[in-house]
Amino acid sequence: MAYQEDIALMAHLMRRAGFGAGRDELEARVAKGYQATVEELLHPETQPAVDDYTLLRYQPAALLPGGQPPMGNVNIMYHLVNTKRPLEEKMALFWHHVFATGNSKVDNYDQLLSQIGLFRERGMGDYRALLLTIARNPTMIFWLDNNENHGTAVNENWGRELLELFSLGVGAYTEKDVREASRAFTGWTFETKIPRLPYGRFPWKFEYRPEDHDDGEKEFLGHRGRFNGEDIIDIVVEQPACARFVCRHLYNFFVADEPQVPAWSIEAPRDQKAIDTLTAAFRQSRFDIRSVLRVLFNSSFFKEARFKHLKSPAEVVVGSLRFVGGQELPRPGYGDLSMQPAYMGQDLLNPPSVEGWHTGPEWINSGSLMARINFVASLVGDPSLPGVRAIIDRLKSKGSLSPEQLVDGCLDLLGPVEVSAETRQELVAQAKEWGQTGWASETSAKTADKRVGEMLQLIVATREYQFA
Amino acid sequence: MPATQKAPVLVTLQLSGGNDYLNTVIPFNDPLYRDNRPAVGIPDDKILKFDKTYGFNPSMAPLKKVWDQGKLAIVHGVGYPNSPRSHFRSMDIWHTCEPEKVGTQGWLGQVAREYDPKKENVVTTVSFGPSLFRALVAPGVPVACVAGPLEKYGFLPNIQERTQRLQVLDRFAKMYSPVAGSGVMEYLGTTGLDSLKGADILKVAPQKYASTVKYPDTPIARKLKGIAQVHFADLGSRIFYCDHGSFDTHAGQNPGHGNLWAAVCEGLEAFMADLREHDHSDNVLILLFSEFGRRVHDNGSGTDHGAAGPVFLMGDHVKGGHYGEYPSLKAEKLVQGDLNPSTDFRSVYSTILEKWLKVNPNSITGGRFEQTAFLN
Amino acid sequence: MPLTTVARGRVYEWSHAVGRGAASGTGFNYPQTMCLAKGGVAYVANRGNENNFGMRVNEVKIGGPGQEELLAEFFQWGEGDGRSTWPFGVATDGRNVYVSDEWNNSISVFDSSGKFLRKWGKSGSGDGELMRPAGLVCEKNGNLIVVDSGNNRLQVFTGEGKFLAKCGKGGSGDGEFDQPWGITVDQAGNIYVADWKNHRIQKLSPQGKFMMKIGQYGKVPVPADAYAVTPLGPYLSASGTPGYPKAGLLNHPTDVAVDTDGDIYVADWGNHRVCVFDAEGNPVANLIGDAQVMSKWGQMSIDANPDMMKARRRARSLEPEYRFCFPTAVDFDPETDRIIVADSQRNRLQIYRKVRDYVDFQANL
Repeated sequence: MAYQEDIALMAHLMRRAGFGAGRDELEARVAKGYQATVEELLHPETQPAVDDYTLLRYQPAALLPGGQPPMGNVNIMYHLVNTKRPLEEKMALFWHHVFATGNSKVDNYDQLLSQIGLFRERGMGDYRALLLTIARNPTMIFWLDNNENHGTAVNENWGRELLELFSLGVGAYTEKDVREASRAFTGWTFETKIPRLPYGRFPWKFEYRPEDHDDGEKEFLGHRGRFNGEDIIDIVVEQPACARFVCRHLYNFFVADEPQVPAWSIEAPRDQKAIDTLTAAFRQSRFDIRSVLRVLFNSSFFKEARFKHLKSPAEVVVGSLRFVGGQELPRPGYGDLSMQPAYMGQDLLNPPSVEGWHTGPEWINSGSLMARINFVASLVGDPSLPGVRAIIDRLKSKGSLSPEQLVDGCLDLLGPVEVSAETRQELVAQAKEWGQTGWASETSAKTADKRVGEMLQLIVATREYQFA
Repeated sequence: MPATQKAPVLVTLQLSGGNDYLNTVIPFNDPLYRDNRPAVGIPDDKILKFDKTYGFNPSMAPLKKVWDQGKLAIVHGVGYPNSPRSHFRSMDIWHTCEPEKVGTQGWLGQVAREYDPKKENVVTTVSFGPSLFRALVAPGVPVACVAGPLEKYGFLPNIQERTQRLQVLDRFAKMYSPVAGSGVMEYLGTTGLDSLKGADILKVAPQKYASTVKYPDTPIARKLKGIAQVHFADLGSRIFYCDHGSFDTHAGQNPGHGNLWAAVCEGLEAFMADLREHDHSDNVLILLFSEFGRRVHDNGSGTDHGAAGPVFLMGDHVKGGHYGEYPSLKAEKLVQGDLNPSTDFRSVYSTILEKWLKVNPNSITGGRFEQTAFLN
Repeated sequence: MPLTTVARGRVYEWSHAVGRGAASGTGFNYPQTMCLAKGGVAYVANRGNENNFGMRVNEVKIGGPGQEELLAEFFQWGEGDGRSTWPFGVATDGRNVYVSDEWNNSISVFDSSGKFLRKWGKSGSGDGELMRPAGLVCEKNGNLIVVDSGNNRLQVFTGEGKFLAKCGKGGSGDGEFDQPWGITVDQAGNIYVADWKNHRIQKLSPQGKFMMKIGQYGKVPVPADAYAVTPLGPYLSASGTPGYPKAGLLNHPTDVAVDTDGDIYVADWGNHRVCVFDAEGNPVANLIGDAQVMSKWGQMSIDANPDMMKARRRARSLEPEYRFCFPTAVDFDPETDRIIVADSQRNRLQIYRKVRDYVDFQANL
């Protein structure tokens, strides 16, 4: 039983810090140990990177995809599904959610992908450095109009969102601070790029124009000086509100669903002690995200938060594709596969606004629920896929299965998934319609494969399965 | 004022990708048309001329018939200032009426919310296609999104064998029975049952449907047929949405652009015949738009992203004819090589909202816009 | 920015560019391979994208500067005879054109004007069966060599599709392959294969016996003040002409060509260059792309889009546009002494001339 508990805990870690794992991988990781697995996840450089060259051999249009879907989505989906560094990708999604930048305005998936590349590279490092990187990122500059932020005519879009959505949260600054921060970032822009016709996309490049920078004195969050953008970031990261804001985001993403960000200035966190613990790690480590994550994944509040997080569409799609396996070749049809999160309400690389996506229960509406259930069901109901085959093989090795054994076996191997007594009762009732499941003869084996597929489909359709 | 007693229905057909205005409604007398279209111009004898000045693309014969019947309104030069020439941004602007910032509420989503504030009918809005169009999005507004064939719409479509399917869906309903007071779980339960209900409702539509009209075998015709089926089933659906594309004809515009229009026009012809056969045409207004028009001058093979385009409206209550002004092709009147919009798209919306859908347009369009008189 | 590359007795002069990005008609869409026919005609196999646009083979007359002309297109996306899912290889025997589809595991045959004639191919690893067929080349005797990439081998067929011979297996030893891509034969009938994942070129005898290998894995060093044109290069240096030393290092080479002197040209895809080796495999020079003059079709796009022209004038430097970006294919045209490079991510061909009457730098010019 203790071993089963180790498996369940490892499954929890892999669902949250990654995109889930099949039983073979979970067993190997349990053998390696929980803490060692956490360290491996925190050090992605110890695992091989995704082979971009293979992606480009088969889908060359995924390198510089321009403004139309789905080639940008193909690129990010290929990374998500094939990565051996799951936490690196998870952190890229995390920062994509926080620094939400969308193709709806940017119109250059290649620029969004290069921003995602920054998140991969720096997502677990120094938050101050990341903030500075994003302040200089041409994609972000364009998205929040900082190229229109001139020494003579201030545009506050970037200055405001930097404080409101990227670092401090509403209530931790005044309108004057917004104004002064914006002044400090005047002149932070990008070069005129080479246009896309006739040879395709070229990168955008940061440019600092001193002659367009307002070099006058500013007063920002109680400090006074002739601040430039970098000074603003230095002041921002030292604010107690900054630690609280970043850590609450991490808690919401990795531990348990919090209310939507705009409510954070009104509603207290669901677990203040947990936030305090993370905040302390953030400050002690001088804004090192890796250190905060280490504390988070090893904490009891994380270990006890099983199934307290409603899966995002990206988690649903990527988790399912990795689970069933066989997705290494970016084959024809990968485009539609890559758009699946969008069909469920999370259009990757194109969040609805700079606020990012609304998470938790807001992922669910009548349309998105059907889309997510049907997508996962179409995969787990296909016994030709390696991950489904692996479940069948493990069940088969137990011989003939009673209805209860079939249900419990499927629940176990799909997660383990924890369901309510009422749900289990319905699943068992369905299995009872089928009687014993066995692989003794060729015909019964065929029926048994089909029954397992149907049971798996019914399980992924449950309410409980929507949680991680 | 529509004379119908039935609730008005709007069918939107989005021409995704940016439809080329100049080769759709062709100003064949204008020498500048020829000058600017050395590679993709339509030969004069192929143009379907419908008056002294304008003609349709050769593949648009069915639409010319509607024009001849006086049921087609063409609104000219529709757009908005400072076209960004980006598919997404432009589409977003059309969908949310927010040209200055990234909007979050769709114009039709807001209509659906007014029609059904308590969300009593989960099929008020029915969209055909896998993705949810932003025009339909508003917080808490349910949209039935039919990704595949209507016949297969519902949960777990891969379990097809009849008794299995009924059993499994019955289990589903029981598993989703909301547990009162359990927060997120209860919400999921209600949503799941709503969704199941929507599927049950829509499932009826193809079963009840019978028609002598043959639709062509194209994606857009299949979507329009689905719309007809749901509309005939009288389920209280008011807003239908579908799209066809891609009209992004940078290269190989001829015959690509014509083929796209052929599919749209033939699909619409069948759809309108079907509406008439079932005596269900008098409360339907059809709207066709695209996110932008294309460059005036061709690029030797196709046309690139431009600005102003035409909007088409069709239906029994449409007063056929030209509305607004075809923007000038003169070099000095172009903006960065594009036709300068003469009609704001929100004028068109405003007319549809007030005169057809009977809702107050101003909060949705974000201001007052002069209306056009294309409805009887 | 030099348009002429001079090295060890060879001189390569940039001639012109052909093409632009286009999903159909006058332009290319991610060329995977290419072959030449008589009269300066190229057949280019385009991969396309997940919107099912762009897949096709186009037949293009290269001509001189400003003379490009589209002659035909075929093998567009779709089901059935003459249609494709994933076009890859293209070869001609002077009469017919052979194309591979690496998703449907088939070889289709067209006449020189693009009329479908026949096809063959069955998925698998047995004799005559195919797994992701990539590059193709016709031998002088009319037989077709297929790079059977997924099976890590070459297979020889008659023009009618009858299996004749095979060589190679998966691995990194001599005569073994790892996902090979392009192929060519020299005048003596020797076979050269771009052994993609082994980062080398292998030369085989006409009978398929290993003779020589060229190159070893390596990425060109990224300059300290690098300007990355894409996240995977090419990298330009702000401080002057990019130094691309380290000849002989290859990063996922995709194609190879041999000229009438025996010099060998390698499309060093992942390093964004074409490496020139002498017949013994010693590195001679690198071509990095010099498209400083717009192609004819490219100019048409600019003419139709005045704001693009304006932006071009305002761009600080157009150098990123000159350079190769994942060149996939290289061919030598003995009729004109020209090296044709399919500059895949830029959807154009860049054409160089091997100059034989070059007079070295004259101080009194």
